[in-house]
Amino acid sequence: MAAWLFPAARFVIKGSLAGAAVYVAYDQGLLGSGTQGAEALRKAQAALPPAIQEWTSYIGWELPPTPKFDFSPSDSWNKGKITSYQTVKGARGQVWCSLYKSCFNTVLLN
Amino acid sequence: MAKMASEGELGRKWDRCMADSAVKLGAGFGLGIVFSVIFFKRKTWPIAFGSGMGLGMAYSNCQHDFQSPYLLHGKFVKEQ
Repeated sequence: MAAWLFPAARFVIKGSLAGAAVYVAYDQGLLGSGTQGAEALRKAQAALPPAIQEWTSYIGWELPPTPKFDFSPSDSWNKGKITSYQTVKGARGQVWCSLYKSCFNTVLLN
Repeated sequence: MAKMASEGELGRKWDRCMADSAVKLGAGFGLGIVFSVIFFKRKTWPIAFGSGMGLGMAYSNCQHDFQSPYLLHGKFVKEQ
């Protein structure tokens, strides 16, 4: 057998594996636009808990339920400040309303 | 599909950018591992190279997304 045959075959197999990995990444939308990447992450988040559940039941382990991981930085940005302001605004309204009522009652009674 | 508030568009773009960055970093890291094992005798630099490429692609996508014009009532017209 020619001496070059084994290295050539090894290179072809390695190249095929690497090319297949790149193609799968491209086909799943991992190398595309931002919208495709976000969609791929959503699909992975949806598919992960059932897959974990299936594998753990197959092996025979009991795991607690997977926590929900919501990837939304814009929802949590400034959330503390917004919540604080809403609380203060609501409290100010309640204080004003109670003061108004007490003043109104005082004027009416007098 | 329900109408989205325009002031939330920037937040949605940031969400998309962060999600895409995570996906691209993971994909680059994974492909770097594959190439490192297959071609480069388990060296570390292909992994770092792949991760860096993924981050660069994510940065480019984010830049394109943030710089794209907000179309309200218009449509894209082919250049003459």
